[in-house]
Amino acid sequence: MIAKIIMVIYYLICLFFTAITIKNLIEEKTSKDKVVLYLITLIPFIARLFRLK
Amino acid sequence: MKRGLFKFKLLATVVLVILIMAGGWPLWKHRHYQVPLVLGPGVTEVKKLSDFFPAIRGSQADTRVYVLEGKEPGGRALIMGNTHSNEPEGLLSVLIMIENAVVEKGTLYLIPYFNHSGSLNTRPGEGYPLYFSVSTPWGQKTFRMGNRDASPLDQWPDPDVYIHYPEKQLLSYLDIRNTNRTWPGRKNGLPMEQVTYAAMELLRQNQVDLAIDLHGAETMFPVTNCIVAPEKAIRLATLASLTVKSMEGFENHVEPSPVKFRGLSHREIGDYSDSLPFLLEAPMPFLDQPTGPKTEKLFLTGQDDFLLSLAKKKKLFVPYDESGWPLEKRVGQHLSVSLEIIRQYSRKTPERAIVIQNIPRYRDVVQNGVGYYFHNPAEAEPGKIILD
Repeated sequence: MIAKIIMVIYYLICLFFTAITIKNLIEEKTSKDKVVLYLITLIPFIARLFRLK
Repeated sequence: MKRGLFKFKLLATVVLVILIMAGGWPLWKHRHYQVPLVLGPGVTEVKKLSDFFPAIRGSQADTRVYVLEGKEPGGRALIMGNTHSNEPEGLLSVLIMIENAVVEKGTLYLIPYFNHSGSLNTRPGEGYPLYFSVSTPWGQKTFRMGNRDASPLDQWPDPDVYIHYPEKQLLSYLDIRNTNRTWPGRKNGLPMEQVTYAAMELLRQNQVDLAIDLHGAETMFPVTNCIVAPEKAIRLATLASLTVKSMEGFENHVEPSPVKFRGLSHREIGDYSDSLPFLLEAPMPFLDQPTGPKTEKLFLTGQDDFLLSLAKKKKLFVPYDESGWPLEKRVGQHLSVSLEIIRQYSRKTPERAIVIQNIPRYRDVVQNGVGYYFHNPAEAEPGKIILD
């Protein structure tokens, strides 16, 4: 039961970081480097949310 | 916002989506690929591990248990494959038993995918293939190549240090997902602890006499090509080892189960139930570190030039030449040694005998190949096919 709760919290954390990273990506106005950084940061969170790895 | 940056964002996002799809699709496909199994004439019931411990029902920790019950009452044996899903000689041996064995006396419990979640996991970081195929008389049969540990998709996060229950030994954090470190399991533990707890319940509730856990091991690892057994089972292991050597001509020495190394099936099953445990290790060159690429061919043939060079320098713990250590030998050894352990036990305790027919032995498998013993799902009766 505890394991399931931890897993659910983990997915919520992933969702949170995905959302704020996408928000930052959309709001970025000047730096191409930051755009690349945000997109690379998104990869593990998206891979987890889609249950790929 | 500059128009140039908007275009860059769009382009970079499209590239990211393509990368995730290209990398993620094979992993998704692997996790959802199902291997057909044709139920043999001896299968009397298909249960789930959750029937013995309902807490794991509906999760990827649950797995099928095939029951082959003889007409005459007798002893009971459990045989497990894919405790480590990157050592599939155990899986193939158990599948051959399910598709072919007929039990005349006693009962056989067979679990082909013991760490079911591990069979859905992959090891791309070391370049493992996602699948392997064996040739059968009716075509290629393809299996998932899994990983040693359960998938983090099913059990996460790992602790910093894994404290074994109930012995409190400190083990590697990763071993909390390794079903050969979580015995005897914990009722309210993490999923892999619950898997081994469920298996202990199976053993205890059914008074199972013998528990055989099938593995593969590196040729550079001393505990290879052997039967590992605790004190109470070592006599039987020795008899089986001597018999296969004299009757079938292959070595399979006996290793005592270390008392102070906790969590392993060959230690905890014996300590926490009345069953006699055995862990069988077949040499598997694919697992060795100093090899060429980890290809399907290396897995099937066990042939590798680097290992050959090391063998000439006497760095391996098994005899090794150009012929490698093919899958047929590994599966054949597992089948013969398992049958021999059961036969020796039946001789010693006739009232708890287990009599099994129609399982090929070492020489049969080496001669005919592993695929020869798998039946064509396209020709099977409806209701006799299980997808796993």
